[in-house]
Amino acid sequence: MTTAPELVPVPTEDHAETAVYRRPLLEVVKVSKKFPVRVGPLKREYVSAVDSLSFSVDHGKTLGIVGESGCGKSTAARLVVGLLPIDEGDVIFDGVNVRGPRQMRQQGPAEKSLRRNMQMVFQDPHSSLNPRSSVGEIISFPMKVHGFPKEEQRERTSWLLEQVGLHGNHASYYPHQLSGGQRQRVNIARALALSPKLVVCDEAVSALDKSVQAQVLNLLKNLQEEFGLTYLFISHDLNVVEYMSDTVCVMYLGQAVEICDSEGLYHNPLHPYTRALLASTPVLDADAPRIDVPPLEGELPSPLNPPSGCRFRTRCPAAMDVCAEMAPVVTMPEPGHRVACHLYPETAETTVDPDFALRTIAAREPVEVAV
Amino acid sequence: MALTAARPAAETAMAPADGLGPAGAGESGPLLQVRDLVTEFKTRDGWLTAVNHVSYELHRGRVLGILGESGSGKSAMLRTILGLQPKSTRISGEVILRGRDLIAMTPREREDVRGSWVSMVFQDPMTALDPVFTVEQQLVETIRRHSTLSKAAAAERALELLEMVQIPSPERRLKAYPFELSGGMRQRVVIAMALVSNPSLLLADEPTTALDVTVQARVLELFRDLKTKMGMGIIFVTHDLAVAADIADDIAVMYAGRIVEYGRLEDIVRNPQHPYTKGLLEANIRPGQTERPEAIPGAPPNLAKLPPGCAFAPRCSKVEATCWESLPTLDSIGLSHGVRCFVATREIQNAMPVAAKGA
Repeated sequence: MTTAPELVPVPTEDHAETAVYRRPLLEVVKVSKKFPVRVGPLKREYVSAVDSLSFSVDHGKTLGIVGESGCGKSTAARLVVGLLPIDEGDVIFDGVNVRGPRQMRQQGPAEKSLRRNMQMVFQDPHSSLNPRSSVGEIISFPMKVHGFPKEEQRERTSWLLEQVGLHGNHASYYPHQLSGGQRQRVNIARALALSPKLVVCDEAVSALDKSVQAQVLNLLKNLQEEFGLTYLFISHDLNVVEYMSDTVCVMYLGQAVEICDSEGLYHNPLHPYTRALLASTPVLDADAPRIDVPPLEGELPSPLNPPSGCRFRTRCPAAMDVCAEMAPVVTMPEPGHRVACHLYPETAETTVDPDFALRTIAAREPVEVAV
Repeated sequence: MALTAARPAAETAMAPADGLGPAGAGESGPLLQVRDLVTEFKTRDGWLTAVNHVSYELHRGRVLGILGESGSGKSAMLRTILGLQPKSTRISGEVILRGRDLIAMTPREREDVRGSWVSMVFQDPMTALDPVFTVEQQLVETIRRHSTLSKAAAAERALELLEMVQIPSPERRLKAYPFELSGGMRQRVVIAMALVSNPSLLLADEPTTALDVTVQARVLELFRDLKTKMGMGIIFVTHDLAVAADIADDIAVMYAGRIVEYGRLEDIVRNPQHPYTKGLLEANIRPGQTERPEAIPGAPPNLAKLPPGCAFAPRCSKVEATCWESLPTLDSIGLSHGVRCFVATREIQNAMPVAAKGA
């Protein structure tokens, strides 16, 4: 019998201090994933959904991933939590390499303890809850799997309901009796049931109405402050990602094209794709600063046959000859601001260690990769 | 064909794309007047009022943005205008399009109106298109339903329509099946289909919600073109205030089936009066925002069990005793600005004499 690990409220200052020196909680190193697609009766081709993606998230911080649909952001989330096996690369969680290509489906105690620390909140609040289980059963299910005593399951469930702003009575409700916002709160409570360190939110607020969306975003922020949670926050809504994240990673066709702290990214976007994304976002105030870039032409190219060189070149207003010939290397034209684009050529000042190219944002010594 | 007299049908429908279409034919006044429209559905809990005494006007060449959360009755209202509600629905009120009341029409007459005077663009382009027919087959079928064109001429017209909605390499896309097109491209095909006979009124139900921001920006551009170049009246339903601000000239905010505030875009965005409108503006995350958004507490009410007073009262920060008891009226508080709220109306009336003294 395991006892419930306490979700100990972390004193914020102390927490911030240690986070700077600690190794990132999650490191994703050159992770790739290909899906087979049948193109003929006997022929298969591979769609590269995520291609050599690297990033890292510090303890208690939020990394946001933005991009259009089909850019591989949800696949990235599923690779991190292990819902999909990785083809290449490593996922290092809390200093331990947990998912390599050969550890496709870890079973047993190692996987179980990993699952305890890594949880996911899904996009659709309607399909991610079992319609035939009560809210109480849904929230206590992870604890049941991990062998918590019955009494503790009950206590903790009502405590969790309170934490996400639901009433204790809601435990006896069924999902169809709840509104979309309430259902998403149940999803969050279930994700928190095992006191995870990392919560992966895959479009967690996209299906909610704007007024309710703000409620859930505030809830996520409060929980993060209280329990020092680390988030991987995936969304297509740039404003929401900017608000939620410390660091933002912009993905295009399976690759990260720009990583920066959220302020730098939104005030000084470097990659032409990021600029186009920002310019396309409708703004409410007429006087808000807008970047004057024409909306993107053309469509997302097929990932079956991505363009040579830079994958964005077919839609890029600044495309040059070199873009078709070779893929751009990651450079750091500004401190902590990394971008993969030929507009920012590699010089002595801007060069980045390729292995750690898009991983860490703070000027930190690269850490050893434990295997 | 009871409508043929009132409607210069096939010939004008095939007029060049830059023409005004049949809508311009010597009519004055608003294009569409909705008066006291009520739509009720029968449910297990009794009659559910999805659209609750809604009235508004729409002029040619203007976009009316209808803003509301899911369940606020905005889609039900569009379907009522188009006559798509099931027979069991209870509908009352008037929908006057170009001088004819659509509600009073026979189903046969409405069928003729649908597609020629008014057409609709749905949220999900995949379900609006038939997956087993090519784009050309679907467009040609629609064109021939509304005209006497031959198959070949209809195919030519289909090509024109695809060019009009700026689909790249339209000849190739005509032969494509819906699944071969991207989301943005599919939505353009759906829009092209809605434009087949140059309708004077276009109903758009969350047409960009399923699209990426980069694609959304271009589809919004297309809607703006339809408005300015073809003089169409467009009702654009959305839950996203920023999208509404991008496309609409006038905005009506709906809550629990009722219009709670209406006005020009500037009125709503710069000077919102209803607590719900204010709440929506606050809840919207703006670029560069670092402080917490002010969320509206609670959830929208059950439409089958509406409270006797203001439906927003349980979530409202300024709620007073009267709000629970009686329903506020939609009061005019400016030239084109109206609000359904006791508190807001009183505050404005109190402020008025002061302003007059100052002036």
